[in-house]
Amino acid sequence: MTARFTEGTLFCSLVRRRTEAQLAANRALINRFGPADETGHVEAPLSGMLPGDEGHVLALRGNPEYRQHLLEMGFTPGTPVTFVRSAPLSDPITVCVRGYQLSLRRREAESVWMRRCPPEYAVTEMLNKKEIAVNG
Amino acid sequence: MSIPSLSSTGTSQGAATPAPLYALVGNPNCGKTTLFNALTGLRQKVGNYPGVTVEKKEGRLRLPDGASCSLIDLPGLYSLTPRSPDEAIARDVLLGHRNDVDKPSGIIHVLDASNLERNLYLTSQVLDIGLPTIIVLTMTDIAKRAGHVIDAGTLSEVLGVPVHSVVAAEGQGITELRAIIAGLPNIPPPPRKSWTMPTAVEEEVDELAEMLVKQGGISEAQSNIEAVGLLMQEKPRPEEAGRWPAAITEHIIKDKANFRTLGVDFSDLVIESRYEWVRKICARAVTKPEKAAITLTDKLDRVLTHRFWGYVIFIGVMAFVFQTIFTWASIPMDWIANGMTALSQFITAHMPAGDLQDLIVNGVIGGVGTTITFLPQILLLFFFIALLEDTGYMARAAFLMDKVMSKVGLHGKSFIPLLSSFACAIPGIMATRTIDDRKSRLVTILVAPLMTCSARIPVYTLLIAAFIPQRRVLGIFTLPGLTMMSMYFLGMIAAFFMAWVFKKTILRGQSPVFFLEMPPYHKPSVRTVLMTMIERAFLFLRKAGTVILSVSIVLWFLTTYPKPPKGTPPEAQMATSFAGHMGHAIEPVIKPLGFDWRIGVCLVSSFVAREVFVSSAGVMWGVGDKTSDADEVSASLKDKIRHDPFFTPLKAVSIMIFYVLAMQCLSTVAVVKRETNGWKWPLFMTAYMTGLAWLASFLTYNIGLAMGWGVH
Repeated sequence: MTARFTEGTLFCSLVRRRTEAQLAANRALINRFGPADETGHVEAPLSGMLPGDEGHVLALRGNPEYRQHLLEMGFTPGTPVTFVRSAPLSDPITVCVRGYQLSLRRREAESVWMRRCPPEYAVTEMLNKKEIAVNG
Repeated sequence: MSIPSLSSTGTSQGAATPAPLYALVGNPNCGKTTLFNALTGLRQKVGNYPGVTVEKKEGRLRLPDGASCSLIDLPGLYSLTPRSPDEAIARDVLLGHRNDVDKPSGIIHVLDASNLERNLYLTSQVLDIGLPTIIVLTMTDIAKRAGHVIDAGTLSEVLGVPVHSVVAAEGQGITELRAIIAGLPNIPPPPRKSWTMPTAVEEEVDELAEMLVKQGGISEAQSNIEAVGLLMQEKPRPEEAGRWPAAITEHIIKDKANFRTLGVDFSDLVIESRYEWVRKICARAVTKPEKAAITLTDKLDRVLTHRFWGYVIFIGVMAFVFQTIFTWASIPMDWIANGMTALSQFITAHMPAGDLQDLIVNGVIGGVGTTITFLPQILLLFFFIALLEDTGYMARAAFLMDKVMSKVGLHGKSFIPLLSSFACAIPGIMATRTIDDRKSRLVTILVAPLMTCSARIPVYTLLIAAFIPQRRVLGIFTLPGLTMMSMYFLGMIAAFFMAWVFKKTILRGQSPVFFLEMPPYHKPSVRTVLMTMIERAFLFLRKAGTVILSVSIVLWFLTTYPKPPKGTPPEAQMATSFAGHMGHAIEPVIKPLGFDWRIGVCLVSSFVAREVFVSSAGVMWGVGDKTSDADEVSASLKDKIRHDPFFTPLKAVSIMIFYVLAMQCLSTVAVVKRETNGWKWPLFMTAYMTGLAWLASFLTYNIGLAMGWGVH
């Protein structure tokens, strides 16, 4: 692409390092909650997801009052949720649900069970692996 | 079409028809307050609902046809399920269950157009109430920028109520809205419940609704929402006790058991069905871009919540706010103080000397002066808070600080109130209003006065200057500087420790779920910011000012009477006054702290405000009278107490520690009373702080004595 992506530049190495860190975090997530199904989806609590991840609400756990409150804020089963970011000190997290952004503490996000879509960067890796498996 | 008779607890017996009452309902952050201000201007009344800390706001609205109506601004809520006091009150007002508020005869429902899906969830409940309703779409500019196209015509058609768009901050659409409100009584109530559940469940609800109409005296229109609400509750709320006949209560229990055996979670079903209804409406009336555009909010958040830049900017903003209330506010505060001095001198010169003159100069002007010197700080702090809230930065600040504050059980939003308490606890405590979680708010209020405020500085300065030697420590520090710093740290540590203790003990129990909405950034409304400032200032003057003034007069009385014979020196006069007797009376209690009755008099009289310690000590040690200039008193008093054999550096430290922790501030008590809506918490606060102060001073003094530091 542009000159900025040329091998050896600082920008390029920063981008690569970031992608590698993301891949490592993704693998750690799958190890913890996986295995992923054949499409790469993993069942994980919202608190276990990574920044940028998307998924759909599977179920709400926890005590009835928590659950009811979360449901009313829009976390009904099947709703798409995006993990936007976590605070610099890792807690709370911000998610996007039904078109608005909401912060909640990780402890509470634990009760939201998600079907997490495989992130884009991981899909490429997954496809590569399959290819290797088929070819090899 | 005519509206059904709605006034249930009405005061409408008079000849003239009273102005109709409409309720303003909407989500938090939906622009409801801005709209309320745009509609009512300064014709507002703020109070409290009895028994709870929920604020009650009412305003008068002049309509284009010359008539007027009352508007009640209900607290911002996500749902009408009565989970928090806010929601319970909103629900009870709308359903006409409150004795202190008439049942509204119509609803103005505010919807945030940029966040329509979740806002419509509340709509599904609001329409169920069955009152004539107008929907007002706000934040349409933000929605447009995000690429959302909302067809107001279709929305109005599917909801069956008028829908009107405004940009409240710029006053767009307000005139038309007034005209629509004028026609509100002629608007037919919304069509009956349009969201649906499985037939078997619907039948159960209908059956209960019918019972409510027949046996519970509930109108047909509102029977359904009552039935759904009753079936959703885990257990009845205490305030509902005895509202329904036994037959109904039994029926509810039976229904719940039925649902359990069928494996139906009724609450889940209701919420999901309502959201399904929302989805259908959005599909018809809203078009959104396929892929959400990257908005300005996203870009700003990348910087403002960044792990490095986020904190840099946060610290910058906080430093600026703190600088303003700590330093700049002191300029107008000095003007006020000087004005009060000039006024006292004028009265002294032009009024015959006597008790009345003394009362006016030292009691009334003193009390009024104490009250209004807080105004600059309150105005400035609320200017910033309104600005931070209105732009959306407040939520980000709380997001950044929540982890730290949650360690001691506080909330991300506790940070600003505690920071402002370094200047003065009064604006700090008033600022806790932004904390939604009641327990966190109460804990923040209880510990805020432990933060070292500016009124403690004169006490520390006097005692440090008199007893702490100018000695260098580690080359760069000096002993007086370190002592001052330790006092600040002691206050901070005590605040966090007590917050932790309260969260573990009296305010234990599960907090409601922590939800912090991150609203999109937007331009602040000048009107909202200014009105927030004015509203807080007036509330402080009216509610806290009266308490401060009356207690000031009582304390003036205590330090003045009984009158000694003429020519008695001020210190002897003080000694024989009631305050003097009180000083003697409390001497046995404060003796273990190293204090004598003279310090006791200072403690009693400085309950008005901590800095009064200096002038009282000035009187007690004979270097001035009550009206002497504080700086002059402090300078000569310093030498006087240094050479008084009674005093030792250890005793000075013991006094300072007492002042770090003790609740020696009547204005704080008054403001806590106003903010918690009762005497329970301010009295508790005074008790725990005084106890803590006594204990800390006792330990300091006695450990100090044992270590052999109690010498000159």
